[in-house]
Amino acid sequence: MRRGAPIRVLTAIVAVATLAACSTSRIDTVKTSKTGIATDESVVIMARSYHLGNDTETDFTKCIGAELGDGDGAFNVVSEKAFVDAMFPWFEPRTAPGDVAALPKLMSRPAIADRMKSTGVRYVVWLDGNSERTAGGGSVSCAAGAGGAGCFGFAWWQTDSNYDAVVWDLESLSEAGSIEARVSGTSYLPAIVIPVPMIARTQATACKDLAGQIRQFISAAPTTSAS
Amino acid sequence: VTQGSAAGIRHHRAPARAGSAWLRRLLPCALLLGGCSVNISVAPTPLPDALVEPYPLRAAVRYTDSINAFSHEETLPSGEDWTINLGKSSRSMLASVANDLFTDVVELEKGEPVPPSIDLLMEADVEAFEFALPSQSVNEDYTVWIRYRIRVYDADGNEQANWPISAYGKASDDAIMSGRKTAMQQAAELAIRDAAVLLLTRFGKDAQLADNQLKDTETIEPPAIEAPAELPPGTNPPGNTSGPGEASDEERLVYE
Repeated sequence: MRRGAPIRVLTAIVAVATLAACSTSRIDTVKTSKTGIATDESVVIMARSYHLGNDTETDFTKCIGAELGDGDGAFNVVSEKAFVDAMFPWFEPRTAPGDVAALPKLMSRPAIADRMKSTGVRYVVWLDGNSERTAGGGSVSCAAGAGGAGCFGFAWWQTDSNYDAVVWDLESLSEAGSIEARVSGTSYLPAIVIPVPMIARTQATACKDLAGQIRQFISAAPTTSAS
Repeated sequence: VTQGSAAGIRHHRAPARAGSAWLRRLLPCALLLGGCSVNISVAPTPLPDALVEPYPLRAAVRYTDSINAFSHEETLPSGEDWTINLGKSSRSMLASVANDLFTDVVELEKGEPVPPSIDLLMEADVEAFEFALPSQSVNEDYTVWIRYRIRVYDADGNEQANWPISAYGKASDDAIMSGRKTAMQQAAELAIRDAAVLLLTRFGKDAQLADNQLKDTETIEPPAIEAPAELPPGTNPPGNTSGPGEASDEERLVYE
């Protein structure tokens, strides 16, 4: 084999991988009231309580916060931990209001309302949902011997990332609306001596798309949907 | 009401992350073939100042043996020995809660005489401890349940109330190697914090304080708690306490 051939083969494999790993993304938005955010107001991203069976990944919650706090039109994002600590014990997994209807009663307590005001939080974004593998097949076998090692086979799996974001406006003590992100992708793992994973990063896509839509939603830009 | 909707196809570059979930599960098993032990110490974690109005009471808090040092040992069907040592974390939680709940607090060690002129005496015990690994549930979570028994005595030393609280904590492992211990530690810390939340928000009712001593915040009803679907077989769901008295069959933590 000529010098440089392996590099060309690898380049071809990477190119195929880039083309092959794809995902489908869908964002739905429902807005029920006017929004907008001042420069001194903040947003907090919260995962729905695991006491209620929710298992939104911590990484996903952090990803949404990081996306919203970065780039053009970045929001002031209060970390979930800082907010929950400041409001202790009223936004714990066991005690956090499950519905916006519970907010007025909670905020009628002066100490709680004052503390909420001091956090600067205008919007609470509640995240629900997760990423999970929904189907898969194939197999890859690997072996090693004195002459070397290698793998052979083909495997694939589908991952669905389904997340909902519900936005509460603490100024009006009402729900401003909700956003749904549905991302589905198929990953492949072909192996001819070397396994070449082609991963559909559905969770990362859902994070980017959902964060972009939350940004539009809160900043009161026209509610066109991203994909 | 405005609505928007769109769909599209995306192509993504594929970083080589395949099998990281497999690695997380297989590496410890590969390293631990032939049996092993896992020792976890839960350090006292300071709780934030609670947004609750203290009862105008002079209370004594007596620390029992299980509050000062509790250790849970269990051998799993896989042969792994797990030891989870709560150390002084329960004591730290109870002290923090007492200082938030009452205007004046006297801390007592076991056997120490109760000073005169107190309004009530509170003591607690760790009554049951259970945990679950991802291999025992349908997800990647480490889960801890702790049941405390709380007793409150009046100024004359008569038992005024006696009730269990079932606290619950859940955490996932994000790292490959140190994930298991860290996640279990975090789950235990969250369970202890959950116990603090139960005490802070329900103490007046559970301790059967007089109606005129109850606070406004105790009329805030927390959302209904449902059992997460992934509880291991034989384990009862976490939930609110049923108030003073013996634990019902539903409340007892049973682990098979």
